[in-house]
Amino acid sequence: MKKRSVLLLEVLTAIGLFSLLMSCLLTVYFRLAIGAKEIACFRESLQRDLQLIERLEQLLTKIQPVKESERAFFYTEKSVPGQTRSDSLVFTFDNGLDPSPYFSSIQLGRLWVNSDKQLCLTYWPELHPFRSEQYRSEVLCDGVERLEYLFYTPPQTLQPNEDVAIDHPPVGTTASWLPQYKTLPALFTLTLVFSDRPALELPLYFPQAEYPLLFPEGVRR
Amino acid sequence: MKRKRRSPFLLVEVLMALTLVTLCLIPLSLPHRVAAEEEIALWEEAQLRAHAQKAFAAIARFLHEETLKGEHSKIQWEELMKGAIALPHTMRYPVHYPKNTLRYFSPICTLSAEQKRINPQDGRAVALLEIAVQFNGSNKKNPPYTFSYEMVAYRGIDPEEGGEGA
Repeated sequence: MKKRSVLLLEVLTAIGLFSLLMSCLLTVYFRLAIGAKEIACFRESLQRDLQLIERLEQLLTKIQPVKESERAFFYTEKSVPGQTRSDSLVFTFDNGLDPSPYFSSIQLGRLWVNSDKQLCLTYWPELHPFRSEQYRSEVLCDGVERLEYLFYTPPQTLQPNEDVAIDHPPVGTTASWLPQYKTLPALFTLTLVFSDRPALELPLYFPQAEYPLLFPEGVRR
Repeated sequence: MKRKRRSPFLLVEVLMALTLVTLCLIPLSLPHRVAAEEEIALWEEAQLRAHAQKAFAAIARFLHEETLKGEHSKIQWEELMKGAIALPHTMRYPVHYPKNTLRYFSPICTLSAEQKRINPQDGRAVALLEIAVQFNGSNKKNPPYTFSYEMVAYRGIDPEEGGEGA
């Protein structure tokens, strides 16, 4: 008995149907794979921003009140052409416990953008501000075009005496904070302007301010 | 008698086999899709939280400034205590999604004054205000995101009239 051979038409039909189904399956598979890759990129970019926000919040909420100590600082410093891309922020902060006792506790920090568009934090032990050869510098993020500041001072801090008013910040908002202001703003908004992505805005509140925005502990209890 | 011969393979059989394989593969892709949706929702929340902070900063600054103005304030203390204050906020905030997608969200901000006490530092009346910033999520399945903040409002003192109690 002669065995019937497979018809070419049948083989072609099977291959055609199989290709059709495989193309559907592969489309779904590649869509998922591409989606996973995009989500990974998206996750990386957001994680980077959130880590930066967390680090800045950690730093800037530990600023020392300038009224209490002559060694405490909080002011903006004009940019130096060729060295910094925008005004720097100089502040005294509590670094907590560090493996090196030299860098534990109170430090003098400087937040600045270098000529390579890197946001840097440099800090010195408070006892020898800027003069000490021993300092630490860390790069917080890349691609920063400039730093922008907005300091808010509520109306009640205005002093009627003109001589005193020189040492007091203007009421309302201002873009710079002078070293002679022996107070902290109630609200400080730090904006990081990036060269390749949207700006990052970070509002910070100082409970040490004369009229703080957030509820002071003494009033809460 | 002529015996009826069976075809080497039937089209229906092939189709059924492939359909079954496809159906088996679909559940494999579902966990990935669900995980991706959950992760996007988490990132959406993280971005909205950052925007809520900005919205709160703008509102808090306005309330802080106005209440400290005392008699010249646009805000009446009694109205503030009832929470009947129009909050100045109409901004739309961008939220980023994968594939360079961008959506804008408008916050719904509400205010409630919880208590008022005397500030031990200067003896003036202060109130604890709770500002709630709410965003509706992009997915209707998710409940709206609500972020609450507390701030202090000072009852301004008219310099000519002197101090004032709670």
